[in-house]
Amino acid sequence: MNPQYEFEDLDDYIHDRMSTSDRAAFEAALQSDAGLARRAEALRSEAKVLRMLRNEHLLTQLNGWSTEGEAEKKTDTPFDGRPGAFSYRRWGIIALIIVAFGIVIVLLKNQDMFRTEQVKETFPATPIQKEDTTSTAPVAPTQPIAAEEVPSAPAPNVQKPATARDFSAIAANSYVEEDFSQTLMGSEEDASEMPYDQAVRLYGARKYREALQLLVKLDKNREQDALYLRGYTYYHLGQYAKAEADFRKFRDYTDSDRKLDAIWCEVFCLTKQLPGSRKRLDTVLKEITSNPKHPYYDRARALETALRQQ
Amino acid sequence: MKHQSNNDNTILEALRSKLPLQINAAMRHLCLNEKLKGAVRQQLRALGGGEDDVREMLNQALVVFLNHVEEEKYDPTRSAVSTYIVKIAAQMFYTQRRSEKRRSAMHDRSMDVVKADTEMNPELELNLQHQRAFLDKLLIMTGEKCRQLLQLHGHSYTMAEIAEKLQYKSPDSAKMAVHDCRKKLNTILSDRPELLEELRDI
Repeated sequence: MNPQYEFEDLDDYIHDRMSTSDRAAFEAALQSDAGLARRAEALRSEAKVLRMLRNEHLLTQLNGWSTEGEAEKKTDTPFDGRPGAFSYRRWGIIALIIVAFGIVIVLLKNQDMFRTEQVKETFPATPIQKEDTTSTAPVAPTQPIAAEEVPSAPAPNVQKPATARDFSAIAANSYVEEDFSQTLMGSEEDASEMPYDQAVRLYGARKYREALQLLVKLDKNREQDALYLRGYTYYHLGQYAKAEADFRKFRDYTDSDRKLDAIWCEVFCLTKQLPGSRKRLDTVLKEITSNPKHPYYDRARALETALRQQ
Repeated sequence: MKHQSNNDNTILEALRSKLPLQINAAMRHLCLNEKLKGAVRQQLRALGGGEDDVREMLNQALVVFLNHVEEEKYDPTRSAVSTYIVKIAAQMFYTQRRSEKRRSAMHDRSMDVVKADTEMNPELELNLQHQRAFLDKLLIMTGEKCRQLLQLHGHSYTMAEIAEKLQYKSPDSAKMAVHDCRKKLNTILSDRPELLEELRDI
């Protein structure tokens, strides 16, 4: 490391603002000082980081505009595309849906008439009560229809409760993969490597069950790494509650680089347990969105919006 | 040789201007263009995508398109802006799906779309996700404020605009804050050669 050169000097060098003599001296120092050379390389890479950050900012803006646009259903000036093909297909699909819907209504009506006739035959003296249309409780399809449950018309606006399947896209979007290979102590596989390193390699090879066996007892020297890896391993084994519990333990660490990431990991574990985990998920999302500096703030906001639309 | 529409020329001029307001206006125009979205939807539906995929892929494709324009990889004489964006979106979606191990089910259908006359490397397009993961790692070390500052600085906003957006007292205060963040970033990247290595590969 060459203390005589500050960040400003490096900046001047990279941006060609040095005099010829200063430049020559700087380049000589670069040859002999690996630390200085690394700092110069880091500064050269800055443009790439800035561009990535710009892209990230643009994506956030674009997502915001898309949401606005969906509300407004804005149409814009034309471009050289083929607008007709999709429109015809869309209208065709809409027409088919209308026809299918009509057929279903006619069939249901016929079925109801048939059922009503049957009921009348079976219970001629029993007056048929009108269905309570304010009730939204769905009737299990396998139950036999009792006389008092016979509907006079198809049940209106019966809302099905959301199922885990309905939330599968949300769960998939919230997942963030982690590259554990960076936490390996050695660069190549060897017989004497520690259980955590072995587990990382097994995880990388998608041998989650074998990896988990090595993570049951956490290595005290690498407790946080192992706990984090175990959370991911449980996740891939579909044991989302256990994964969530492991990630939640990071809240107890006073000093951890992974604390904020682990909170997001809790989120994607919770999305896998929807709809049952909705309350817990809302609480964690609220925790994230209450802190605009949280690295997952934007994603949490987007997830909240998606959940509201579900 | 393709005919270049006035609309395309105006968009390209704005994207090449390096002025954030103009770039934003052009990007917003493309983002809200229902016909472009419809064309992306048509391609992605053929590949098994849903409405969420359409929005996500279109937005990511727009960012990639801007990068291609800036790097002069996009040749307006070969394809119209919309056609090019639709191809990027379809390729990104195909690559993403492939990486999710769903390739076998969609391979036959998707190849018809992807075999189009584009010269882009689909592997490169996945970089946006890789970039986001990398930035998340850096963010833990630089802090969110620096991320916001550097985002705007990277977007070529002036110090006055940055000061206004991030509520600094003056452009000079914003300039000092940007400088401090750049210094911090330099220290982190210098001290963590593995991050520098990863950055090189992105």
